[in-house]
Amino acid sequence: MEISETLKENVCRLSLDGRLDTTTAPELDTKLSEVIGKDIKELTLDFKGLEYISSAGLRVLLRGQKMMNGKGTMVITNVKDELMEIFEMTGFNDILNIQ
Amino acid sequence: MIFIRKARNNIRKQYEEEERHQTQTLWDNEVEANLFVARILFYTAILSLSYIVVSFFGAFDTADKGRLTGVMLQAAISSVAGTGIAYYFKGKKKWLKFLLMLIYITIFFRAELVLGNSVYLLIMFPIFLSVRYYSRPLTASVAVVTLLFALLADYLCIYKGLGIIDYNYIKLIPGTILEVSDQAITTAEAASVIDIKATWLNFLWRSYVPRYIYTSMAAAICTVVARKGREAIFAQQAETKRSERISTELSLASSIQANMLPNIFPAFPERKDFDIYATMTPAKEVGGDFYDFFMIDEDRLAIVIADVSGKGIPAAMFMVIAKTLIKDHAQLGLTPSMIFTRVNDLLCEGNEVGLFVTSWMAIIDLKTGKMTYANAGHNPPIIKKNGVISYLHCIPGFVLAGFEGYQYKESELQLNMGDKIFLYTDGVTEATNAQGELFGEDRLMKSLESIDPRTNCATILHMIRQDVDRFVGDEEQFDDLTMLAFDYSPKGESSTLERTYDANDAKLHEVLAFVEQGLEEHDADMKATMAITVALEEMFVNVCHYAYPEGPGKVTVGMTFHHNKIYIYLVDYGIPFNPLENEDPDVDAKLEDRKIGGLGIYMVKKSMDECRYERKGNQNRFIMSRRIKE
Repeated sequence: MEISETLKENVCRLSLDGRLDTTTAPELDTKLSEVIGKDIKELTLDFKGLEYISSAGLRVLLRGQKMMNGKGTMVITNVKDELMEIFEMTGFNDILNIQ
Repeated sequence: MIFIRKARNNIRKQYEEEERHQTQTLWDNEVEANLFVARILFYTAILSLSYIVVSFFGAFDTADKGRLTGVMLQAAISSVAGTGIAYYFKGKKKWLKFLLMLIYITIFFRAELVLGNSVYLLIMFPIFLSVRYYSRPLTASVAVVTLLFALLADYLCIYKGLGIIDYNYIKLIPGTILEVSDQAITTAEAASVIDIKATWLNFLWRSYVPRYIYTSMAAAICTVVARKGREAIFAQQAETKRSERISTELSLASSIQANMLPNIFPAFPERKDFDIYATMTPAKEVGGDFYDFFMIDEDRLAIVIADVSGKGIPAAMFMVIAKTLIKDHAQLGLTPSMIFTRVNDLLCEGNEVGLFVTSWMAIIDLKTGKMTYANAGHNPPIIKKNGVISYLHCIPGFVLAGFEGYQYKESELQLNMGDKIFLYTDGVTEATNAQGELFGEDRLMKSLESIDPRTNCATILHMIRQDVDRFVGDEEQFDDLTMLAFDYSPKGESSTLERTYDANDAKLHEVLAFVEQGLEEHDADMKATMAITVALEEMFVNVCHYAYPEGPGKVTVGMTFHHNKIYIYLVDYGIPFNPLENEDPDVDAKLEDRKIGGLGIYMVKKSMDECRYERKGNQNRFIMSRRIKE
């Protein structure tokens, strides 16, 4: 998985490419802690290039959302249909801001 | 000496243990009794209050209405207080029983005082209720205290004019002239004309003493009932302990039995020329079914299936004997008919219980494919020969342990590469659904026919089991369910692809790639591919993280495609762990309440159609399936 980051003032956009699974989830976890630590107000996760997500990935997103709570907003965009099903199956569509 | 002391100590320990148990049982009972009595008190309060309300509207035109209302109000208040205290302590205080009894006694003492004779029976109430504690001393003390209070009430009534006196017993001062009036006379007014001492003695001997006597008799009966109650709960406790012991022993027996059957698969990892798999699911803790397979020598494999009549321990013991005898005789190099003939004679000896065994066995020469088999009253196996499924023709033979001296006959059959044999007990065909229908031979045949010929034996049995489970629904399994499948094809021809990996996250992508390739070859759609890979990742990672707490281990991943469905199994040799027993996470919880754990297994359950866990010997086997196209 590759993560590319654009950071302007306190708005951050992370684009994910590839698979977010047990082996790659820690990368995203580190990245999220890093950017959220920079006191950002708006965080966008672009899933356009993301093909796959497992429970390890979901856990990282859950942690991210909890970290952002009270600080600003976290938005997930361009989610593929297959991934959307996983979000729906686990009820994550209700607690994450997916657009 | 030491031994005697030890034995004595043991006996004392046992005795103390017993006593501790009894004390606990009595205490549990006392807590229950406290709550019970408290409830009755509460009803008393309701009754008293309803009396006040009804009498406020003019009912009960008694002589001493004001005083009676006072009694009722007092009864209601003390009852509610008693109930409250008992429930506050959840009945768990030693003194509660005394408090509750005392409240009861005083309520009826007051009623007796005011209403005298007419409510005399009420004083029996505390005595009756005390029986619930199953304590003779308690009931006896309550009876004594109650009688003392009754005596006091009667005394106060006459000497202090605190209640209503029954005119029938009154002794008037000689020369008094009575005039009848419809006015009620209170004791105070009457006092001037009554000869108090004479009245008291008259009451005592003609009214009180007879009543005390019958109250005492009733109380005596109550103490007997209390003792009987105590004996009953002790007996019940002993019975519970006994049945607990029996069920522990049964489950031990069950695990001994399970470990007697070969249950490590692959059973012959070094043999590439055949495949074999078997399962036994007992209906009760221990069953009478068994299967067995073993190599007699380099080339000859024996397979056995059997069903002992009856259930439970006797059947299991008989099964152990039968299984041992058959294996012993087979290893002598005898043929199936000779084995059965000898084993039958041995089993008949001293078989007073009248148990019997149905069995079918074969000895297969793996080099030549020649199979020799004999039947002892068992249902014939199903054979798939040259692609055609049919019942194997067997020469009928009588059940084992049925008739001494019976000569069994055997048949021969030439197996060709790719032929398969399916053995089962009647637990399969007689599995019953809610409508009372049997699974039956036709359904079994159909299930077997629909299975891809290249499916390996473990998966065949898994599929049949699924069909049976689906048919039976939620009905209870009432017979042992035993199956064995033998496949005479060189390994590798099976459509089941299998790979073994290190149980390590780093291998995840290899595992996923392995299964994804299979999915692609079978034209699985995007959605299915996603769901299946998600489930596989979760299961694989699960094994990596939890199966081997002690160090590195292996995990085998296999897959079979069948009828638009994929069957994936994971086998590891780690600690026993059934992921399906995990509690599902709450997927509707709010963000703050969402927990990290349990999500993966939940996703597996959700994304796959069926999941099953089996502990086989030292293996965890997890099998899951899902359709691969819409």
